[in-house]
Amino acid sequence: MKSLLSTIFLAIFWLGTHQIAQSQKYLTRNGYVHFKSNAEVDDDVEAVNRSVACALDIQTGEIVFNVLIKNFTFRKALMQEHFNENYMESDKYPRATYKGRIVNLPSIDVSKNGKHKIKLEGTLTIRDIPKNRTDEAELEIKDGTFIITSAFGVACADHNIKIPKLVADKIAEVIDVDFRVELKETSSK
Amino acid sequence: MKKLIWILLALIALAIAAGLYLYFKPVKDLTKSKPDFWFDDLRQLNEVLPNIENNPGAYIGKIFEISGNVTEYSAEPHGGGYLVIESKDFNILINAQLDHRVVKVNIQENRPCTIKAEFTGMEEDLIDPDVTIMYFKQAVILNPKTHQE
Repeated sequence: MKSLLSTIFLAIFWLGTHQIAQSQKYLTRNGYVHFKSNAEVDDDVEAVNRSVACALDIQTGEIVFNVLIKNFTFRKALMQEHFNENYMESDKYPRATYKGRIVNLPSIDVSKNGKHKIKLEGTLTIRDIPKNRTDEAELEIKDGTFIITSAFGVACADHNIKIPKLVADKIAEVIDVDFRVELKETSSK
Repeated sequence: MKKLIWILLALIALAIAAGLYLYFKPVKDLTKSKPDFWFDDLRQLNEVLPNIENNPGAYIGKIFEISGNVTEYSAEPHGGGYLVIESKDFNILINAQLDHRVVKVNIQENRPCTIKAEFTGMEEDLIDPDVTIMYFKQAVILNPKTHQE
């Protein structure tokens, strides 16, 4: 009887902790990232990627982004080709990642709807070159969905993206990036 | 001499026109492109998945025609968006970005759909590591019929 009770207790405890562990993860496979080069000569150098994977652990505030470079879509074919072959070398460096955490997440009541300014600290890795950074973003909690939006600059030089002098006036040294992810609670295996 | 100048001018004009055409050429509309590979369902795709995993370079950039059940989609008001095709029977998920010229998407979740799109790569899923996500872009929808700009 005693062993049966302890088995039931252990089973309830395991189920409980497992439930908590599952409910901590919020994810998306279809985040949106857009960038635009606001150079001296406006040349519409911009692209969109709607297949960005992002995961957030709301207990620790840890956040991960995974971006496949070849998924960026341009309007002009030649720009897309140059982006992949000359600037990003996407065959050699197929993905960009961001690993960091939302520093002030513990001070936010995640059980209530609302908008909050958040601070992200982490490492952005593009072309296998990591760069530590701190960024501001907005977190909207809406009926259990975590919507994170932000806009920031990425300096080409930080990730050894070389811009030929011939097109230096068409491509900005700092690229304007914005993203939006809608993270939903997902039970993982 | 005059003839030579005219020929040179014509050649220069031709070169400028070719340059401008290349510069402004939009990304390819895959509606009329012949697919390199086609799969009637995810079971067929699942069978060749090991080949793709072993040699992704032979498949990236190629055009796939794939049929399957749509489990998620999002259309944007001015064209584009994304859709997801998956089956519970296979650990494979198709994540396709729609071409920006695809408008008025006539898709319903949990209904069959056929797309043609460019394969861009594959990744382990963040949600379920047993699942492989195959990424596609510039997807056009062949069935059900969808309006193209």
